[in-house]
Amino acid sequence: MFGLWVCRESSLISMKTTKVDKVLREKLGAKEFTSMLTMCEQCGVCSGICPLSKLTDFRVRKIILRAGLGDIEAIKSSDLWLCMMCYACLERCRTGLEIPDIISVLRTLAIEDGNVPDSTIKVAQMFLKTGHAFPISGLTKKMRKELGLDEIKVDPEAMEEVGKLAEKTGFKKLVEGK
Amino acid sequence: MTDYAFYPGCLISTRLPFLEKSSKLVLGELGVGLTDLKGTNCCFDPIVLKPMEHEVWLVMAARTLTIAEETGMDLLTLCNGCFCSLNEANQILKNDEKKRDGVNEALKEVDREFKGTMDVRHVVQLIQDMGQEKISEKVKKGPSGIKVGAHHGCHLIRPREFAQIDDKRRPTVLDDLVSWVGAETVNHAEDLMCCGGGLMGVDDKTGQVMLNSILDLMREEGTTHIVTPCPYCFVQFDIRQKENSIPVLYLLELYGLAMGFSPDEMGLKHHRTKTEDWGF
Ligand code: SF4
Ligand code: SF4
Repeated sequence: MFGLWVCRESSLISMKTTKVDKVLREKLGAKEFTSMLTMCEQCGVCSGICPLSKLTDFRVRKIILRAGLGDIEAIKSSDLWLCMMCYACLERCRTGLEIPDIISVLRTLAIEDGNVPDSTIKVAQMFLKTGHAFPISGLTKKMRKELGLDEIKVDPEAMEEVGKLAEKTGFKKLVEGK
Repeated sequence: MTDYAFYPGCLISTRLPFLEKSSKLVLGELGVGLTDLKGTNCCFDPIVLKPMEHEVWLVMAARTLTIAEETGMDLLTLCNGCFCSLNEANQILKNDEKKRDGVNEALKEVDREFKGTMDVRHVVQLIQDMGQEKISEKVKKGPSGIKVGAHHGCHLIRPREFAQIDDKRRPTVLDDLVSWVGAETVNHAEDLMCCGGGLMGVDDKTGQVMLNSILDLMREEGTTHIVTPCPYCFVQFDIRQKENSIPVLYLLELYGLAMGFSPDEMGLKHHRTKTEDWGF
């Protein structure tokens, strides 16, 4: 009983101290996956199963609460980038919220807002430059040759297509200048 | 035996080509024909790229899927991340007309069309389907005195809706495949633990803590070798163990050793975690 009360109160405190951002709430509401946000029961099962919660004070339940409220912290906080997309919470939420997909929507908004780790942007830039997430280095070439594997190169035709699609989908714009 | 459109994944082809080598040796021995796919792009991995923008993910994944479709074969990957990203995208695009239309609209830009004519397979599924008997026939020498810590990796089994590989609370598919070549696995309840690889670059310290928590469990159970079917987990285990390192094998390297391929021809010297004793 006591445990439940503490849990409720902590949610109340977050609500009281929350600055609700109407634009964010509208933006979130308009996105796929997020229509169920208001149905989150704050049961905490997601945090209970999350491997990060076992070792740190990252709580995905709070991210979902903030998103549901339209609390701007949801996209300003660096916590948003800690989730490792392990999908454990997705399998456990009894309300059926697609938690990792909701986090993804928040991440897109956060990137537009300028909140994105350098390491993430670097991978995106590598993708835009080579079509892959990792560089084909001198070591790669040497190792592949030694092992009798064929040589791999950045494929100009493939890159032309990737470039066009990055333009068309807005990915280039999302990543540029970050 | 069926042939496959081969997509090892960019982590393996660029940083871990020795895993590509051992996999090709093993799959060749098992009579699987592989056609290397040309001109593909990164699967838009489920940890870093996909969560940046879902629509971009669907389009970029679809581009690679259309290249596989042109071969008329199913796509085979060696990577949990590629499997997760491409398999989910493939199933969504096959079943959701609205999304398929949206993606095909974008793909028109590059004269491509997603048709939904093939399936995405992880090498683990391929081996599962072959069955124990076929694998055991190929085993030349069993391991001696090794106790394997089997690490499935998140994206082999989740989201379960799409992966459909193992839906148990504590997955055991990898333990089974390890036992097929005569190796014993330790019991450690790490079913939902992530290797922490996804945190590297974002928060290295926490990533290391995640990894250590799995290693502690494995050590308690007397693990002598770690086996994983995921190149991301492989990297995490292989380069980030700090002390008393436990040697790490990609699943098909274990199979390769059991089938009598030498550590030299498989390029095991490229592992960072050094050992004289691969257990065979
Ligand atoms: S498990 Fe689902 S309903 Fe419960 S707190 Fe998490 S997101 Fe909300
Ligand atoms: S997907 Fe993210 S929030 Fe969910 S359990 Fe995994 S790390 Fe935690």
